[in-house]
Amino acid sequence: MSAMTRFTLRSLGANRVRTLVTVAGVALAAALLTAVLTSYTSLENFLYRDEVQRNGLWTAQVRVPDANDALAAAEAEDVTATALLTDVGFVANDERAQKRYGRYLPVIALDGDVEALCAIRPSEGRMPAADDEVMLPEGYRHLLAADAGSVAEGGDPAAAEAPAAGEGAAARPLALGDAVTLDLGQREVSVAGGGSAAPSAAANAFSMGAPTLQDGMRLDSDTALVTADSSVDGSAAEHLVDVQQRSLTVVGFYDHANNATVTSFGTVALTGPDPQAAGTTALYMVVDGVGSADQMEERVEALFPGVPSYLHGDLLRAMGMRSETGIWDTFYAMVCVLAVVIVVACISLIYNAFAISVAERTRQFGLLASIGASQRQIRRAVLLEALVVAAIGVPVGIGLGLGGAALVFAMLGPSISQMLVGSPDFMLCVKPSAVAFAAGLSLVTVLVSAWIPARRASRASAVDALRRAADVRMPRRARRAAAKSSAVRHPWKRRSLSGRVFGLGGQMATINAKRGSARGRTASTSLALAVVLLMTAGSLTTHLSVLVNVTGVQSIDHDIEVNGFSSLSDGAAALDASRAIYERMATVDGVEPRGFSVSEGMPLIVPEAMAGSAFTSDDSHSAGKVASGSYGASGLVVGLDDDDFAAYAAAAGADAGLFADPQAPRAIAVGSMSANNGESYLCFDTFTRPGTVEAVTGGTYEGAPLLGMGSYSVMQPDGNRDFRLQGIASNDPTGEGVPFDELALTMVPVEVAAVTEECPALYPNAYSPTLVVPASMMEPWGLMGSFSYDQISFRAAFDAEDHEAATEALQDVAGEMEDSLGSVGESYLNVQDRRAAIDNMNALVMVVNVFCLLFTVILTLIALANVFNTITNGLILRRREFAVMKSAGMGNRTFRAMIAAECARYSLRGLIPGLLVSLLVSFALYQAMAVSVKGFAFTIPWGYMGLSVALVAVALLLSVAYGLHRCKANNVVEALRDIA
Amino acid sequence: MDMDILTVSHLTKVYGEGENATVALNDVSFSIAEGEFVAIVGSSGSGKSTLLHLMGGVDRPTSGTVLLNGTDVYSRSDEELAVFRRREVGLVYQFYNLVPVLNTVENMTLPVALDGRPVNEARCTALVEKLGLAGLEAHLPNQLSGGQQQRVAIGRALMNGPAVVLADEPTGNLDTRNSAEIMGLLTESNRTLGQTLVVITHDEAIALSADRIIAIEDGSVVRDERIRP
Repeated sequence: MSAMTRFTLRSLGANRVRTLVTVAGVALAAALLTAVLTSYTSLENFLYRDEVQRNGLWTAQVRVPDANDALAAAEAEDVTATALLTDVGFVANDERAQKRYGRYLPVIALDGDVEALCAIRPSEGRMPAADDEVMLPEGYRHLLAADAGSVAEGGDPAAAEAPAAGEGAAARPLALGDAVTLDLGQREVSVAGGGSAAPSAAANAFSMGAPTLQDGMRLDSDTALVTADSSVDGSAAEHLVDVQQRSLTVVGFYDHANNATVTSFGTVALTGPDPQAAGTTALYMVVDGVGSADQMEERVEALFPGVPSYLHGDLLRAMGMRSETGIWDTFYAMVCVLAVVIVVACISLIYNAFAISVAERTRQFGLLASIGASQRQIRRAVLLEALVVAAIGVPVGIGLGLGGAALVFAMLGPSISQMLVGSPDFMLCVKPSAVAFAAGLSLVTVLVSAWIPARRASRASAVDALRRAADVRMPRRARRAAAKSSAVRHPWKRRSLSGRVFGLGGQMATINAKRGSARGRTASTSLALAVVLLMTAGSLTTHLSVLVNVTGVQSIDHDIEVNGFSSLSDGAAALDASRAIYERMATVDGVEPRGFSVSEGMPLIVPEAMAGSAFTSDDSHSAGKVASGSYGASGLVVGLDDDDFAAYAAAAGADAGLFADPQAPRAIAVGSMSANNGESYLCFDTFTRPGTVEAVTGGTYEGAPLLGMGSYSVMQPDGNRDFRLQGIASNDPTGEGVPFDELALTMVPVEVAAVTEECPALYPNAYSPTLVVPASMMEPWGLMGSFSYDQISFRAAFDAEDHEAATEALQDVAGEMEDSLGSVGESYLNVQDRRAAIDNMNALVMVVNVFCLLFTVILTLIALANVFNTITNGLILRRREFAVMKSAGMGNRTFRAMIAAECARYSLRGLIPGLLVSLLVSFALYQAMAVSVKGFAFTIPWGYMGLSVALVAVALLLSVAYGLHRCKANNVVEALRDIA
Repeated sequence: MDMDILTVSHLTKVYGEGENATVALNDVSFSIAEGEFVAIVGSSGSGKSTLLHLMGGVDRPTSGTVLLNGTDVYSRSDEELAVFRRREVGLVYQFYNLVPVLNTVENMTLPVALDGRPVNEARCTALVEKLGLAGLEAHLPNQLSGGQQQRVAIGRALMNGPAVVLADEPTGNLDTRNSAEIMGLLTESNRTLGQTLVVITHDEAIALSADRIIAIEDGSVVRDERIRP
């Protein structure tokens, strides 16, 4: 061990407190980096496991006509697993089954590693192993009847003897071991008059699987339903042909619907490997050894030339192989911005720790230089010190980071699991590469942070260092400033602003800042950094809350939601029927009613002065100009119960009494809305101020009442959108809709009494311009709509401890009462378990929200600690200087003025650049969000700016107070005596 | 020369409390006449620096009084004490104790500036000349030699024309030639302007050049000897 090494280690040991502080700084930074990276990898891992559990391990899928060909082609080294799902046929669903599942029950034969690749698993029983065994969706227990005489395994013989009734009336639910007979047919296209039909825009060539719809063409389970809307002229339809009876034994049920088991027209029944199955085969594969989605695509194309393939995008994304547009890019960009800020914060923290530690020992290094240590040796000594500090700090930090992340995950995990029913546990995932990266980055940061002070230390001349005058290093700039100063002839003439404000103290502060060391800059930098970190926290919160808003996370605050609409032409009767259902449901055991609202969509026409971007923006696809000076959009009128409305009006600052006059329709408008065009979220403002809106509730065409009303918006050549209304009339000669200007419209003028940002509780996210009124006034005000086609929608919410049981009970009620809403097919009633249905994305937003917030809070603490560290140390290092000034007769008042002036200077130098940089960070976060959220304007976060500045100012004051207290503790006499 | 300018009576200073208490000065009393040149001698840790600080209004005594020009120094508030330091006394230290960011002239005129009075430029220039600092007015302390720094410190002490100059081993850090020059400057001011001068020293030659030697051991005056009338 060389002398320098020994010296370094000794001095580390001797200055235990300082060493500990430095190690703590390094550990904190390493901990933070580790925690960020680990959280990120854990999130990625969670998404991966979640996706595997939901949709399986497959990475690519091709659809081929022949299963054997497919298997042969997949005999490649990098295809490590395969699963085959082959179409056997389709069973037409009865009316009840259609309502729940869609038109068909597709039957698909399974082969290969289906459980792992496609995440198809039985909830009861087992997977089908042969072509005479079937596994059905749970819901079909009540929808299919067992064959007469069929005996369930361990079933009740008495029940089995009950006659299996026909449609929709199975005497008992299906059980394992039951035999079912299915009428299996094949989907075939028929075109009126033969020949072919072109797919309409609604059903494009892709979803039809072919450029034209040929008469007699067979359709597989991947092809959308052919309806009258599918072809341009409505001549195409589909039906089942080659219907054959097939008897199957029920061996299992499954309740986990996913990509492989749900089609647009039904949820599948699964049988075992079936050599006779002649339908299209979906080959699911795991392709290894590729690094990106593009490579995957190329590889699959090479294996199956010309065959359309699908990639498992959600899985690839979680594997880091795919970057998607939209909301994902937003999250990734936000994580990046956050990571940059964290890294900068860590570098600053470590750098300051070293700079202070080295500055304190300038004299020591001078001493070493005076006894013959070379610059290189001194530099090495500092770097060795850095390495020792890193050797302790980095492992400790990584341990802390992992421990902290584990703790946070352990605390968050249960609530997330509760939210994400059916998802795997949310748990810590430590990737060695991520930990190594955090360790490497911390080490590099330590070395860089030590290198600069080390160079400075080694350059300090021995004599300077020993004389200790160089405890404040005089740069040439300072010397010039001192020499240029007019002080020689007119010392102490007040020139600086600081001098004028703070007197002699202020002047001293100015001189100190101009000629003093870098410590002023360090202090300013730490203040700037603190502002940046605080503002980052603030603007992250702002942006995430917008994100949470537009993605609809807030909508989940009730357990069960009931949605329905009535086809009754009498609005009042429809309202009564809807309310009756709500009231009946509220009596179900264990169910707590949370509210009832009705809504009705109708076109709204607003004067230009009131129209927000929802009406005027080119991005708003269901709105536009109606005529000069007015705009239109398809809007929504929400009716609340009187009590709910009164509360809502009060919150909006409106007098509920205003809304009781049957002659004067009044409403409260929701001021903003969001929309999703499939790729990105859009934010709009709707009504910019109170005023009068025209609601289009009906109309006539040549004296005959309209059956309905359509609205659309078209882009004009001048780049503006026009909003058009089209009437549906029985006497329409063209049958294509009556143009707006030929209609006599019924318009109800509704006075918007107040505009609020709050949405009604049951409609927490506005997706169209929304007016809120008392439900009881909708009829008298004529807002129920007079179109005979028109339907009143309602929504009711319930809470329940046991939401699954309650959902089933409510579903039973819905089954009993749905007929009261109108004829089956035209009316609709659906009970949804919202707690179970929260989707992945919503939970993700919440997880990201909590994490970002947590990290920025920690960052904020670090920033404030940094301020405290630099300011306090800066003052303590100048203890002797202060003592000299005091002994020369500086009074407390002047001294305080000097410190105040210095603080003011630090603040100006720190806060202004800090605020500018933080605006940049805010803007970067805004840009990250703009990737997926459009129409959200960047605003300068004044509130957070004020808050950050105030917090930093408080931190500054506390630090100065503490620093001065420490200076005082070692009184003037001691400070003067303190030579070393 | 008969009037006492500085009277120290029953001065006691205890550092620390309880078991850790250290008595730095123990019931010290003496008087110094106007214009007198007093050398205070004693071994390290005898309490002489503490005594000087107490005479200079830098520290506060545990008990006892210091009268300067008949006024009790420590009856003043902290703010008044600061005014006292910049007007009534001039302090010179072994390690110069200059403010590192202030140049020669600014360091010298700091007490005047602190007093809020305009700097008497003629006096300042004369003092710079006399101290041999001409041409170094704009230098910062770390650009000056030890002797030069000590001259600046003396300039600062003399700038306000204080009643008493208190010097704590002013030559302790200097070579023989510089020592002689610095002492020359201090004694000249004492002889020609009649300024009272109290010097703490280890240097026998300096002590012997004083009018009176006070020896301190263990916080008490052990010898008070007038060697010149």
